[in-house]
Amino acid sequence: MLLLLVSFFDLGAGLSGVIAVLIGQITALLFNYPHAPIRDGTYSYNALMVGIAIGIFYQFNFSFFTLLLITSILTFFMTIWFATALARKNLPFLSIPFLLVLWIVILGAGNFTALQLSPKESLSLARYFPELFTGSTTLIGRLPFANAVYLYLRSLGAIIFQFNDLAGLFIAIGILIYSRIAFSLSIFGFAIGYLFYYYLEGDFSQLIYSYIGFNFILTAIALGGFFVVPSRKSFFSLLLVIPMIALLISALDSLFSQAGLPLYSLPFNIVVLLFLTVMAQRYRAGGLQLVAVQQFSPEKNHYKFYNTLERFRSATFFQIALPFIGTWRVSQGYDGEITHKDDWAQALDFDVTDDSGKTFREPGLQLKDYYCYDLPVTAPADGWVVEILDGIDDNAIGEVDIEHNWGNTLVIKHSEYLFSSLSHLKKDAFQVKKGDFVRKGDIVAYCGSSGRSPEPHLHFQMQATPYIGSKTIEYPVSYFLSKENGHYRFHSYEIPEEGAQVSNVQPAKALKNAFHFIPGMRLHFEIEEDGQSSRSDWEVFVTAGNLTYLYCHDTKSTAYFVNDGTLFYFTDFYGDKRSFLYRFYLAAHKILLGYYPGAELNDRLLIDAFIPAPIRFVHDFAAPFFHFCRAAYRMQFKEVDDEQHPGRILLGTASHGSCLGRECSRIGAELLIENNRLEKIEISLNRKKIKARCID
Amino acid sequence: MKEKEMEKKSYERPVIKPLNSGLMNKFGTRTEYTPVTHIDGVSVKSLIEEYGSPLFVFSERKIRENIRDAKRIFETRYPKVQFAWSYKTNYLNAICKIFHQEGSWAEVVSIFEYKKAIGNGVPPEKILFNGPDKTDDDLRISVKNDSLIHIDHLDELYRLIEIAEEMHKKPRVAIRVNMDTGVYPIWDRFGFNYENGQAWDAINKIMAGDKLNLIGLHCHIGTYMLTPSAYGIAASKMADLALGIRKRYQKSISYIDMGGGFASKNTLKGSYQLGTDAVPEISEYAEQIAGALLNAGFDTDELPYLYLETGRALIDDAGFLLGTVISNKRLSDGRRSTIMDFGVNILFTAFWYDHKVSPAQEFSRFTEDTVLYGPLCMNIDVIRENVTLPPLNAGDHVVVHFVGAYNITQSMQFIALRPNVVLIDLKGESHIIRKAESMDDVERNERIPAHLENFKL
Repeated sequence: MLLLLVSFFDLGAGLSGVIAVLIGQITALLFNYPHAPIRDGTYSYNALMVGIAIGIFYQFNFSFFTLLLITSILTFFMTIWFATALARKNLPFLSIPFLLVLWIVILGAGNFTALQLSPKESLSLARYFPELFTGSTTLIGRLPFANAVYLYLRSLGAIIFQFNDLAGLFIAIGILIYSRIAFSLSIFGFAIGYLFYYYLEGDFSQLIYSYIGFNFILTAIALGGFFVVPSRKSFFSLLLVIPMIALLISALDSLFSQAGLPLYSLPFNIVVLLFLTVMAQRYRAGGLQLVAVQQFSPEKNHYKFYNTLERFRSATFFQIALPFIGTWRVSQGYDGEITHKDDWAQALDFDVTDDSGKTFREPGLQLKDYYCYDLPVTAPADGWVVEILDGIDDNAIGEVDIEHNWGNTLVIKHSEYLFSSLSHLKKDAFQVKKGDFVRKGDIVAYCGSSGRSPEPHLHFQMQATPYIGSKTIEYPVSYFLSKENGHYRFHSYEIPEEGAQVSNVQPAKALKNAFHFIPGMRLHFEIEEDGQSSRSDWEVFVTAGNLTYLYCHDTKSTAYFVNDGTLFYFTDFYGDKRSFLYRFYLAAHKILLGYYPGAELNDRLLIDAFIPAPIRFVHDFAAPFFHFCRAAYRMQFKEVDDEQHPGRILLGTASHGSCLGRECSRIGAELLIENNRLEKIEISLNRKKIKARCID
Repeated sequence: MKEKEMEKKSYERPVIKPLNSGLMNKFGTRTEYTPVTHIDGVSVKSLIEEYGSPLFVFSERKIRENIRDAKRIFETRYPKVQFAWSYKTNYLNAICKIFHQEGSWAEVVSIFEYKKAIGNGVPPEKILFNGPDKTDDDLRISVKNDSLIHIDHLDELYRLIEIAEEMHKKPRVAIRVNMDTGVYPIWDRFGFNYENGQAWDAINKIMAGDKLNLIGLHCHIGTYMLTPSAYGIAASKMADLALGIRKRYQKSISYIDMGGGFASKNTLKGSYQLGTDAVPEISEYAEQIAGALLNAGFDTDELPYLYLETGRALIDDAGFLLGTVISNKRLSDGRRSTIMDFGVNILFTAFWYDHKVSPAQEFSRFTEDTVLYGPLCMNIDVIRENVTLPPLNAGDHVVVHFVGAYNITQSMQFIALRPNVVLIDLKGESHIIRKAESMDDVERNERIPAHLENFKL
């Protein structure tokens, strides 16, 4: 909006921009393009810039409007062309359509004499309120580094062809309101470019002429926070990228000036596409992170990314469980000292120990003295048995069979390029045959001591190829519990550590049923808040992409959730943050669906609900470098009627926001599960109490 | 061990033995002459000095080891396992509490044991109440407490329905099922038979009446079972009932109680092999039960809990009886006999087992076949009809093994009073867990009618 306002500093430009957008949108509609991108302006922002540009260049007359009509439609065509071409490489088309169309106009319009260049500043705000402009200019003149500030502001203004300080100032404020990170990026990017020119003694006239320096700013915002998740690293990368822009400006300027063409945002377009291509082709995504789901705000991109990272870490699409029943010990972890080396480093060995850490009962001379010997081995996930090697005898204790390194082995195919392999199994004890489909948890074999196995143990590895002895791949176990001093700890998507006593999670039916929200289901709550009672009605929906969400009809709020049988958790919320749904989204952010008294489940929340807006404003500036505000979530089991078959379960969750380590606000909640559903929800929001009861 | 070095070598009388040169029998000679001088690091001699002879000794370390072993063995084969300590096997409170500390519930078969469990602090809803003799009052108490009642016969079922109506409560119950597992004789005196439809009859009555909450199924196929596969058959039949109930009444059974009956390492009388060789490992029973239940076809979400009432196998080898030689005697047929200071009144299991007996002091390698008698002046008092032991002198000590199960609960004051029972804790400290009986203990409840007060001899 602010940008639009600023463009109206020159009335002609503003008007022409609006008309161009309208033409663009109408064209898109007439050509039957999908409504969603039309509505969010994907097809028309290039037209807007084209409209503004030619509105500034040319006098309003009949032929001008003819030109505007043609160029707007042309821009739409160009947009479609580049959008399709670049989408295949998952790249944005940025302002390339605008550039091409504008060059076409500049090169082609000269031929049509009726298109007269309008004199500068006609219909401009500056003609009527000159004090406003000169005033701001003199004001800035008093600042230190006034020259740099002028250049910065005018460069900002130049984005929409307003080469004056006031426009720049407005845009700067606009950016600041839209995003603190974008604002600091704009200054940071500009400063790098400026200093590069300054220290390498570049010709500033290139920058001053049409204030081409906005390329620094646009690139900084695009690569520092929009397409790339803003972080220390993204800021650092700008130190290398912005000088490229400077060099490109210089190079292209000498080339384009001969044709009489302005560069506009060409350097920005080239470098951003270049950089994104390089990023996308990396062998492994690490360090700098591309924004996966565009939130259209550097802040949201940043917070969402780091929140997701903290919450789900290395969550994998395909879930695997531990391949056994009960509690086993990780006797050798990843990169183990004994055999988990080189290409086979990402493997896990398991055995069973007693309380003193021994793996056998005295005297431990026979296989059957070993606790894990002959224990059932289960399938870690659904899949097909693709390879079985059987017939290798168990070794006597202490002996190894290097000739048959892997011993009796079973390979299960879970999907293309994902296999699990279980080794050193007992001879003639396979419960499945090659080609069988096995379900997660099915007993497939028994633990033995065949192959390179001095004492009974189970070797487990994930691999990308179907062979016995394939190279291992790093693959976390989706969910498991570790037990230490009789206390359970819940882990999600972690690699079990060497020495840990680990077991699978057994879901409790009552919990599973209570959070089993199936599409079409309706939930009604009677809410009591401040002595007033109200109702909240939710419905469960599922998107075409199989994402499930709760939708509150009254407040039009949406809360996306996942229930994978072990965990119930919310992923996103859109809508009214005063709604009961939002409170529920916070209160039941992550629920463990197995009953493990004493087990704690920790999670992180976005800080929005906990930190006051002014502090968040300041925090946004610091966010790419460090977080001084946090919001943590914890879930615990409080009461249960029957530990083995819980029917009535009281869950407690507590979340609190902290700023510089000091607690700011907290949300406590108690969820009562009874009759296989969420019976009662009590939320205490700082001092406020909200009680909700499920009604039919 | 220092004590041992300092000890003077004891005198051993000479023995005359026929020399069987070159005639090796297939199994070698059963010699049991490794001396057992210490239990959990505490010397037998010092124990007897401190607490007298005879003396029952329990090893806390061994008990905990046993239950943890058993739990681990089952829990690594089946995901939901609950042990319940069988009070009748050994109801000394200290022993029970060790099991409760290890997470075991209580399994009782009378109101007496029920009250003991309550007294030990077991939450009543974690008590399994078995047995054919539960009076109306017993049932009322357990209904009130929400304990798990395992119904044994139809009369009990009818009475319990009446009590439930009268108390306006829906008791949580299981029925005891008996069945043919291929091991004979069939234990069909307890519970409802599977094959002839009695079990279904009881289930239908419970479900149709809707006064009782049928949440479990219980069986106990026998005792000292040497055939693990019988448990596999039993578990399959139990699972079949549970799945049938699910199908017919849409009710999931919460638990299947497989009872007890696992053998300990004792040697049964008449057994050809030693118990340690003949008796299956607990893992073999576990494999059978878990395999049968996991393969039965339960929904993963509705897998019933597996309850186990294992008694003997968890406590037998943790109990020792220390005793002292009273005298040696040559019998008329020339056999040697030794009279010990403990008899069948406190070692009841001597009727079933050939208990392993070890001397508690060093001796030479010469042994002789001996009859071990108890001190009671009664012909039945025989500890071992025939045991190969080194010659023992009066005052020498012996250790009887595998006495932890059933002796404490079945012993009596026949002819003699019962001795001290001590527990050696994990640190090697010994504690009396039941004091030796006094005259007062035995006579406290006796009453003398007035006309019998006085007499003249």
